[in-house]
Amino acid sequence: MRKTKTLSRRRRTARRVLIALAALFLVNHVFLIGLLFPIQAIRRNEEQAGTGRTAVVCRDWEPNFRWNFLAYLTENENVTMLSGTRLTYLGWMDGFGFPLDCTEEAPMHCGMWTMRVGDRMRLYVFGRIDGPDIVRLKIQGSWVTFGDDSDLPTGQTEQEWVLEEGDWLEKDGRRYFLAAARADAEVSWSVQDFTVIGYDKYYYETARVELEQGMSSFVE
Amino acid sequence: MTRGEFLDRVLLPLGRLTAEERADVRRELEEHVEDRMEALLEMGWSEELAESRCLEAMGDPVEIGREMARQYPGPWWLWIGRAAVILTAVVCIQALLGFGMLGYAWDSLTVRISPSTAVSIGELKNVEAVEELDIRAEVGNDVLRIYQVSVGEKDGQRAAMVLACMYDRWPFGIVANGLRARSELLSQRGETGTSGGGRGTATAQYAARWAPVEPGDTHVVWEYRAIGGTVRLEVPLPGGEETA
Repeated sequence: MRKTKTLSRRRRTARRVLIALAALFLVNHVFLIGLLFPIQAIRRNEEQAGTGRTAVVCRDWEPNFRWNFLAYLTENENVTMLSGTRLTYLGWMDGFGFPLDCTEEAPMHCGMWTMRVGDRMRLYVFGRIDGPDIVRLKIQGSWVTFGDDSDLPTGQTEQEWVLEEGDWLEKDGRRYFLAAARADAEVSWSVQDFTVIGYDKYYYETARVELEQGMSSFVE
Repeated sequence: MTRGEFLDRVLLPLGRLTAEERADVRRELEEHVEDRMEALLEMGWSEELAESRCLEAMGDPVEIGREMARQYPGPWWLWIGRAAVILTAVVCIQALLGFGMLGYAWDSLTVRISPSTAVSIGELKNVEAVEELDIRAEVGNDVLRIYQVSVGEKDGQRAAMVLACMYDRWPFGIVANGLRARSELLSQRGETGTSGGGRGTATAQYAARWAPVEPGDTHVVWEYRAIGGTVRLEVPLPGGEETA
């Protein structure tokens, strides 16, 4: 006489959970997809950039730019990194990361990253402030937008941020900043060089970093 | 009491079971009753009498139902189980849609077992020696491996060409990209070649570099600029480089 052993609800659930976890592990580690959480994609970005493990300083979400896109500012002793992840049908996907090497001594380490989705652009300026005298930052630059005729600019936008100490972010005893702007790019744009200037409490300039056109990404 | 009535009474306290669970319980109890009946039927009892005797021996059906209810705790387990099923289904669909990603797994295996030699920066002419190597260094979570050196002629001068690969410590892991861009090959005099080659995927990076060498040179140095420091690997030249 055949005997059918009925599983209790707990055992049945435990078996289902184990199967789900095994499938997830396989897909995550062999197919490299199916990430459930955005931070997992950021860890992937770390691996690809070779930065080592970093800690999250802050996260940026601008739904008007891209509803399924998150930018993370992360750090460790040697690196400040701005990276992004987007939610797709294959889960959270990695792919964008801009590491800033902070191993050399300098009062500031700064980077710039622009991204474009269709006719929308998002620009980030970020960095780490190591100079103890610096209490204020001014970030200034501009971009030019072009329409169908790529030789003729259709507009120029000046952008300036002034960030006081209260606007900065702190992590592991180090100070960071992240500034972001959004623009409509029409057909294309050209970001002019940005400058980050550090001031002491007497408003004297103590450090200056000229940012060249940094990483630029086109997000599908 | 008939068998059907008995089973209905057992299932009475099991109201929170799903239809599937109720069917499982019913089936298990029916098999249990039939098992018990079999012995009595073999002794010559009639089916009706055997069934009645078995049901009586099993005890109070409602009490049996209460005992069985303990195997089916609250709805949380049910919802967790259903969530697990949904997750498994989603993951399987993702695996089907992302089947091409298996190429990364293949790359991760081949770079470890048999790194590709189809990485070049143009051929070395008049190759005098080729030597397989296995020089490794850990760079964070990754392994940098030098696996071939050859000596010949490049751009009109004697040169050594070195092949290197990089992969994560763990099979199928992600490797830092840019092995080619971050690497240089230096001669004993600090000279380097003018070009480099390489390719890579998320799980395997390859690079080829060359440097001019002179008679008497014994080694070249592969330099890899990682964040936080530079890794230098000394690569011995075949035969200690005794060229005419």
